[in-house]
Amino acid sequence: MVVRPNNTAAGGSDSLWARRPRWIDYVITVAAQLLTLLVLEAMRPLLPLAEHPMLFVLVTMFAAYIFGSGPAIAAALVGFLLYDYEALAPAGALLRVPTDKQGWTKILVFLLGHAVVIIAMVQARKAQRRIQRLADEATALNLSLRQEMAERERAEAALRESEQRFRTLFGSLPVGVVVIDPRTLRFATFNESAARNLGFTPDEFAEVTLTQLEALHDETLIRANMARMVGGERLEFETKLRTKEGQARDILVIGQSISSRDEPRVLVIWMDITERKRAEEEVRRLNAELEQRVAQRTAELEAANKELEAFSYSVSHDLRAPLRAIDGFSNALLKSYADKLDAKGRDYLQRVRAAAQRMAQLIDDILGLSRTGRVEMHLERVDLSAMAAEILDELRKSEPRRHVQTFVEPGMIVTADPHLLRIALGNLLDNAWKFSARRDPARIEVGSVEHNGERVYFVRDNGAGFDPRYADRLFSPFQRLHTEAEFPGTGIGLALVQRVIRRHGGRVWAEAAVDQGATFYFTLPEVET
Amino acid sequence: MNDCEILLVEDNPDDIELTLLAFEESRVCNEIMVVRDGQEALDYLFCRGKYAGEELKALPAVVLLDLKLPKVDGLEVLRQVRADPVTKCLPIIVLTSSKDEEDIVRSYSLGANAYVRKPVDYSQFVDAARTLGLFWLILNEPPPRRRPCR
Repeated sequence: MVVRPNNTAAGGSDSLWARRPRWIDYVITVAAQLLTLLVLEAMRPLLPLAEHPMLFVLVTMFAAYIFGSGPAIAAALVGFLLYDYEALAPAGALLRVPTDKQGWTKILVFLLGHAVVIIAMVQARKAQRRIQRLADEATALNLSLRQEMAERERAEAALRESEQRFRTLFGSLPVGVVVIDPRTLRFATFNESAARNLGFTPDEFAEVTLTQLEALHDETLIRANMARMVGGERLEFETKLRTKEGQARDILVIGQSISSRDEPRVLVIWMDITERKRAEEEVRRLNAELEQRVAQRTAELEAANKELEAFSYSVSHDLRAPLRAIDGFSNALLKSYADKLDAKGRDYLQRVRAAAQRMAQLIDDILGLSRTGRVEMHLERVDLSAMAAEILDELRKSEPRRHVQTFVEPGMIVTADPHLLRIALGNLLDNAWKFSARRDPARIEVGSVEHNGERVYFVRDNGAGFDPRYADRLFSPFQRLHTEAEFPGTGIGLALVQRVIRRHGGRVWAEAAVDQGATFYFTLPEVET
Repeated sequence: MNDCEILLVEDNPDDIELTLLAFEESRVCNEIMVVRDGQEALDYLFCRGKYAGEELKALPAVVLLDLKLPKVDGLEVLRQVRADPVTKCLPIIVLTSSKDEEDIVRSYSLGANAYVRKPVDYSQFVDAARTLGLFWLILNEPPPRRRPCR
């Protein structure tokens, strides 16, 4: 609390008094002398002693003290003129020039006495003023001192608070923070995490050196790093430190100098990254393992694929040979021994031949299906309309006597493997051609519609159709919805179509009703070529 | 002339019989020499092994070569025949069950003159035999066939 001088209220009159003109002093002084004379004259009959001139001297003394030497001299002169002092002649005597030696002595004594009194009082007044000034100064000084002290206290409190905060922060940091004396390699300051992370109590930690902690105890290296940091470099590196039990931990170190003028110091922040490194290592290991597993699987797949190829090869080669023998020798029998067989026997042999040839066809179809799934795809822009027209043209040439109306939507361009697409489209059109054989005129339509933002292509005929209950079985190999006698076929065609479309990332489905014709839809996703 | 017109390299007895029958039926050739594996084919062509020391003999007009053969396979026979200066021009027709693209490519790249797939349908086989005989034995002018045996 700042203490202010309690003169604010009196300040107004004080300043008014202080600003009075000089002549007021004289007027007051003379008035006081006159008042004194009146009082003395009034009291003369009562108090003979009141003749004593000391009262005038008193007024002079006060005037000297209050107003200074000027009014005091004026007071003395007035007194001198107005009254007769005991030591002097009666009033008015001074107007007369003394005639004797005694008279001069009295005047001299009067003057000297007053002079002494005036000088003394003026000095006293000066001394009083000086004392007052000194006192004022002391008060002001005291005040400012007190302010300063309060200020300092506040600063100290703030500092204490800040230090407390810092200490709490320092202590509770999960990372280790240490200040190292690079000369002794001991920890001048450290937080609890630094000690605990390495399994030490703070007391124990104060006793260890960095060399003891460093995994390789390589003091030369440590000192080199210290020298670099003291030299102003900021270092960040990974190292290994040992725990109290001797276990190595991976530590990320960030260090820089915080040396004062007379004491080199290095501030080091360290983070235990053992778990992180372990996790990274684990990820790396898993990745490597995964890669190895992928490689292994790929190799297995390749081997399986090779095996499959060998199998296919063997099928095509070895299964056909007996079929050739069956067909060939049946034929030889029919030719060379026809006279020894009756009609039934010849019919049986014909059936044997037909069966062998059908089996050969089945084998070829299976191999074709298997190949379709394995051959490499080469995507390019393909004119689906032109391809459909071409296939229909071939079909028409194969059966020129059939009357078939065909409609192909022009300008259908797709991205596909042309070879595979031709297999798919060929099978769909083959089917349409085959199953519309009993219609006159037969109708085959190839076109496209937009459905849910996707282009859907279709092949439609007005042929035999099929029962939609079996629609999902349609695309399985060797599934047939018609007898061989009705419509010949091995049941592989739509399986092939599905395989081709799926390899292009598309879908294929069918809509039909018995004797209402069939529509086969497929999609071919647009891809960048 | 006693020399064979056609050398048939084939291990399957049924196929041998059928091939002979087909050629017989097609009436284009009645001189067919049959060997049953790749080694024997090479021995025959190079007069080695059991064919060593035989009289001077003409090369066949054409060789019908199966690919899948015991001991030495058809492609290896093809390679050795093409590597030898005496037989490198010998017309060789691969006659096999396989329609495998790789077989076809490798046969041609090793110097086969033709590649024919044996049809299951015997009638087609007879047609094929007739066509082959007509082309290679009658229409085609073969390279010089005489050569000294070693």
